[in-house]
Amino acid sequence: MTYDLEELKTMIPMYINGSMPEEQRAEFERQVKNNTDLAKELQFFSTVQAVIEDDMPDFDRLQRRVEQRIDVGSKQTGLGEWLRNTKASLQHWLAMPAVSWGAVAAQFLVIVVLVGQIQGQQEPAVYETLSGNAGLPQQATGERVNIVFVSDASMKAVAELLDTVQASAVSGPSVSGHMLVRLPPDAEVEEKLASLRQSKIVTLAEVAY
Amino acid sequence: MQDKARYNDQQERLLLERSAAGDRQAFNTLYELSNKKVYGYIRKTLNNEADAEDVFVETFYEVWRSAKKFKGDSKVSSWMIGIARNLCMNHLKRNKPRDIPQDVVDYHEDEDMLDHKHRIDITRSALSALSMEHREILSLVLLPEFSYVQISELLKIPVNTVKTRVYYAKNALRKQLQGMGVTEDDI
Repeated sequence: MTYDLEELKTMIPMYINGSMPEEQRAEFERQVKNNTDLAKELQFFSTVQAVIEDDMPDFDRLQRRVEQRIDVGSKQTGLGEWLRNTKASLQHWLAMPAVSWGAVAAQFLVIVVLVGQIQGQQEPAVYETLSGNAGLPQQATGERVNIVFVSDASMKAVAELLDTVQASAVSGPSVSGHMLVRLPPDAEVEEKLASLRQSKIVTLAEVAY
Repeated sequence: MQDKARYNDQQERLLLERSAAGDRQAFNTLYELSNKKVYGYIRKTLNNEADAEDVFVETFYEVWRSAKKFKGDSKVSSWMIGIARNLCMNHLKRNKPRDIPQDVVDYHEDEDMLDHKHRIDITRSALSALSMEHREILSLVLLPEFSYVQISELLKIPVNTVKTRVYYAKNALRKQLQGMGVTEDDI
């Protein structure tokens, strides 16, 4: 088999390091003898190899270091190995698609439950007064009226009066006897006001602005 | 030569197998068979003696620890150099590479012929000044019984790319030597 010069040059490292097939070596050596260019290239690489081989350390000393390293490593093996194995097992387990998606679903569920609980804990808006709402019905539409009751007006009398004019409580009554009520949407406001003013338990009844 | 290479690999496999079983004597024998090869690669790649020794120790420690994991799909020497390479690259990532020529030699232009030691020193100096990639490829192709195929598998590049990299590294070394006033004839 014949080789061109460039191909032979690429074979030089394999010749030097001993990996060239036996059947090629004889041919290669013959070519080197007949080609100064190839011979120079061979010498060049041989020098590089000599540099590598020249830089060898005290291998006995390094062998002792290796043995010490192994001895130290063996002592650390116990806990370290357990941690490594556990980590490897966890990584392997978490890498499984079913487990990963399961974890995502579980996290989503937790978030839904938490949000639900937070919302459930929120109380409906309630007007708070010093005396409380007294459980009186509320309406969203109709004229609003400020009423001031006498100080000794009972809750029963107040409720009966509001029932008479079909008014619903918006807020109050406060400690001072003030209450904001809402009349029915189609109510005759002046008529209702007149009825309120006629009551003995009312000191003031005016439209609220 | 190939028979010798095959014998060496068979021997190394057996020694590695016994090392995996905890046989320190077998491991020591494996160490003696492969230490020059492994050190030569590491030394030239890292370009620093102290770093090379540290990584060398870690390489053989890793060989001992990982002996059970050797799958047998490559030569033992390839596997060991692969470990050495990984540790070298990790070392270079963690530490600023010291691409500083070691033992820089003054070349006296009035010398017509360099003696052997001087040639070695000059070439060592020029090699040290090369990039890590160039130093690595030159040390790999000159590793005992390391073929282009093994290098291609180690670096995960085609064989022709390995040859091309050797070509460029060789030219870079020549250029470096020329910059130092040394011709190829002197080497």
